[in-house]
Amino acid sequence: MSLYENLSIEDQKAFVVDIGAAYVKCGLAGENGPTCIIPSLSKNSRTGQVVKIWDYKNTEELYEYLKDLLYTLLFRHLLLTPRDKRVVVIESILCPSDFRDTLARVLYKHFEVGCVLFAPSHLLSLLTLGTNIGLVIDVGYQETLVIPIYEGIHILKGLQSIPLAGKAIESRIKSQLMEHGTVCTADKQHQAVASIPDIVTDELLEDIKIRCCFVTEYTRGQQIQDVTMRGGHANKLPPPPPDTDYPLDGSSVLNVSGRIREHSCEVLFELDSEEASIATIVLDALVKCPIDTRIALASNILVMGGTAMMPGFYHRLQLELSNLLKKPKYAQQLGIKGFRFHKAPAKENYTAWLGGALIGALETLASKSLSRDVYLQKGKLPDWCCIDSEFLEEKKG
Amino acid sequence: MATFMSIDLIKYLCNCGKKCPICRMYLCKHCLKLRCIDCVQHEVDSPYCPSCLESMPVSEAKLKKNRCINCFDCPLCGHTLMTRATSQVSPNPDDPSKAVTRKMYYMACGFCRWSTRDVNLPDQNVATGNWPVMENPNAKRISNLLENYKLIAQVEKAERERKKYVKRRSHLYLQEKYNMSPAIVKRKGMASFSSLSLKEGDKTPDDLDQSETVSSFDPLPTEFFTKPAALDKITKLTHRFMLPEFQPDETSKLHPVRKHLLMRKSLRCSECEHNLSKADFNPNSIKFKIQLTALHWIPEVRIMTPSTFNLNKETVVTLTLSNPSVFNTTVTLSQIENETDTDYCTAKVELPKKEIVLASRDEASMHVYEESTATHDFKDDPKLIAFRKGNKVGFIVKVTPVVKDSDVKICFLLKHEFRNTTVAALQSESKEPEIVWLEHKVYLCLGTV
Amino acid sequence: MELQDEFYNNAQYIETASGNKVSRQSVLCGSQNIVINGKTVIMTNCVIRGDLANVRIGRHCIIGKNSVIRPAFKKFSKGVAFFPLHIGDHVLIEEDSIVNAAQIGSFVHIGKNCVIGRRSVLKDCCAIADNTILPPESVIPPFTLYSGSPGKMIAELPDCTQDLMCDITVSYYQHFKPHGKGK
Repeated sequence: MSLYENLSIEDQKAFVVDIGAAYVKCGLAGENGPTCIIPSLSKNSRTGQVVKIWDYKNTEELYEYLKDLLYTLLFRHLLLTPRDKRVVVIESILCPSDFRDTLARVLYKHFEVGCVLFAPSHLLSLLTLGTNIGLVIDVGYQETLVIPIYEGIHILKGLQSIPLAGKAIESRIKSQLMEHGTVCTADKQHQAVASIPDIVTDELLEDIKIRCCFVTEYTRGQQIQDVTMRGGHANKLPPPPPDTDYPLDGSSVLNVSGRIREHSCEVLFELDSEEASIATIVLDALVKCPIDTRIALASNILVMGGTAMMPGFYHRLQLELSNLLKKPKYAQQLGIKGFRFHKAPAKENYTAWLGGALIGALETLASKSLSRDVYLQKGKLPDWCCIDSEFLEEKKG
Repeated sequence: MATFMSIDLIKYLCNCGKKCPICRMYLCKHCLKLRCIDCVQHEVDSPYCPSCLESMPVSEAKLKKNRCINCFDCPLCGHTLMTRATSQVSPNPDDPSKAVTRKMYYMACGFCRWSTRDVNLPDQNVATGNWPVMENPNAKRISNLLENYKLIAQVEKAERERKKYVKRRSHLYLQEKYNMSPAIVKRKGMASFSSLSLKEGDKTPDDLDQSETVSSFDPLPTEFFTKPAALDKITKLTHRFMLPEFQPDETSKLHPVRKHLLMRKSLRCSECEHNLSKADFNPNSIKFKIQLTALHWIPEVRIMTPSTFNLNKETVVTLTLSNPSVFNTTVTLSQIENETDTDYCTAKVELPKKEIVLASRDEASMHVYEESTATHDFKDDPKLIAFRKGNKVGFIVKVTPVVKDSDVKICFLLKHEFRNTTVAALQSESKEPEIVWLEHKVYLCLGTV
Repeated sequence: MELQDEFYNNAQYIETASGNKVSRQSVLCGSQNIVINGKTVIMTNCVIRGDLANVRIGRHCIIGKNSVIRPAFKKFSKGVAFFPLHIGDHVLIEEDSIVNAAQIGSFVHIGKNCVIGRRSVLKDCCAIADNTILPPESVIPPFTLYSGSPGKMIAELPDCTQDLMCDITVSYYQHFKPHGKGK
């Protein structure tokens, strides 16, 4: 093993792949940023339709999707022969086993890679800070996942997740567009979007989210929630920001109202039926942590995930957290005075990838990962709850 | 044809269990098995720039991050940027009263009209190779981190080497020394990652600064509340991901994108690792050093004319078989028993029971494309054989659809002679190449009921 | 699927000694500058602008209905110059396409309703999908399929593209028969 390690430090760069719910981040270890960020889409070879990778029905289907996706990554973007290469796969700690197992099958059996390290994204993102204590908040597409990490160990008791993230914003935009959105065409003014629902595509929603929406100020947010959630009178609403004309094609223009622009992101901070928002789950995570770790965690918060790149997100999150802290529910339990946030040396949407790229560039990568020989011998992947410390080693004889 | 005609109607069964059109398949001459594009090993042969068609070795391409240093893409529409020359009048440094004209270059997109002047990139005085490269502002921090982790990794590695040595002597000793109480051992599964991060008290080099933390953030600028979203100034996600490292969020921060390379690849049989296809090094060339595409070795089945079908009614369909080999080839067709997958078989088929002899392919006549090649003296049963033309033969099958409301799909076993010219030539001096019989399952989609 | 017979009115087409079939309703400007090497089909309402620069078309090409073949120009400080246009062998250009290229290699397939921008270079064995717009000065490398507006590479072509294109253009020519003379 050690001979192999020495030979392959420089000429065999590992490749690092992070298959997210919306986008796949992929690149070579030791580089400062990913080579490509492409949508997590694949083509169903039987029906010919483009499908989202995570919408798989069974593992056979997923196997084909992943094969297709990795082929594109390897031969169109990385230009790499996968055989005997080393791979770092960045996964969520909540990644379903059938997804991991299928991905392993594709990597080891189809592409015949040398060894694979499956690493949890939250821990990797802390590597980009050079610390091993942190409260990591991942605001991705499908869900927001908060995991406290202390001395490099996940505090699983404190794990909190909530399905509020990029996708929730998009569906909020969609429902608002359906409710009061209008389209102006050359021959018809103010046509209701609800009468032509076909124009509302996923791409359109994503683009409205990216280019029109923002996370509003805390006080305005509270006023909006008073009206929308707690039934206050509509005249209490803060004056909405100006509408935006969003050109759909040559002749028709979609009116994106100021309300859509400002209110859509509120979905992240509104208390849902279980009285939870992405801010409360951060505090809930802290409450569940051992008392001696809380101050350290609260002063080492790291936010990652593409949705955190929305304008105004950090400002709002910080104010939400400090105002929640004043509430009696948390004030007595927590005993924290304030929060301190880290800024990773990367964009939020590839923070975890950068952590993987750092690990992938180390000589010890091979000894930490599962080699193909061992995989073929054992026929399965070690899980994070696997306690067999010898798992990674090949049986002798 | 892959782009002109529907090639998905007729598929051959690959050894991996997939059904593929024949033009995407290869015949491994060493295993004598069909391999489809999906079950062969792909290898990167030579990367090249799709614009200037300059090829380079893999290592060099890696160094350039798989991008061409001379060609640029438009950051808006992705088309290749054109270099435009202008002359610029500037005062002569020696004699300010006289002006000199110098040629300056900028880049513009011929499709969406974006140009480097839109983002205030200064014009360059040489046509290529001098455009500024964007620097990652975090590059220094990242390389510091990496250096740091590398040192830790080295320490860790040395320790493991030592452990290995110690282990051999006594396992008990190890437990004592590292105080491996059962609780710690239990945690090890999870903890295998904890050693990835920095350890307190580890011999870390001191020059790594702690990451700074902040407790408050700037509020949103007021124009979010007073102005409509400036759609023309904010980039779309696709534009941002063209430069994933920088992700410019405003159009004024766009930068020409270096052209991404494409590559020539070679294919290997996944079983015997012999090459199945290896393209010429030159990206301009369409020649191959090794090319074992199935089309060159296996008789190709095609449908002569589209026909209409009625449920449970026999229809006569003419299929053609063409012989790619330079020898006369004997072919037999037989039913596939117990094919039950209605996705691939929805009709009964009556095949010619006799052998069919395919005339050899004659390169010369193929090039002259004479209509009247030498008449063959095959004694054909006109009930089975519809026509003969060169190396092609049309034969008749009778198809009875049995499944309602679906495409008419049939399958049969194609068995044909194969003369392994390459291996025979290598192995012995014998003039007659060895004859092998190969079998392939063929799946056809004939039309609708 | 084999290609089907396509019949044309015998009076509509001129067949030359080298086997070219040129529609009487096509417009060949500056025919002294146009070289067609043989067994090529030029269908109705095609326009070939040989008056601008030399146009050379190889063997076994098919130029579909209503397409325009036109040498490309480049502006210089002293005026405009036209470049000769070379089209290789076994090239299939489908209906309603406008070709402004500088060079088209052999075994190339251009779909319906495409625009090939000025001074584009199409190498051997490439394909352009239907309704594609190639901007000026595009370069299309071998074994790639371009599609969209602007045209982007979307797929690789099979290694045997050369054989496939040969087969298509030859059998197209064989199936392109005059009325009443079909065998």
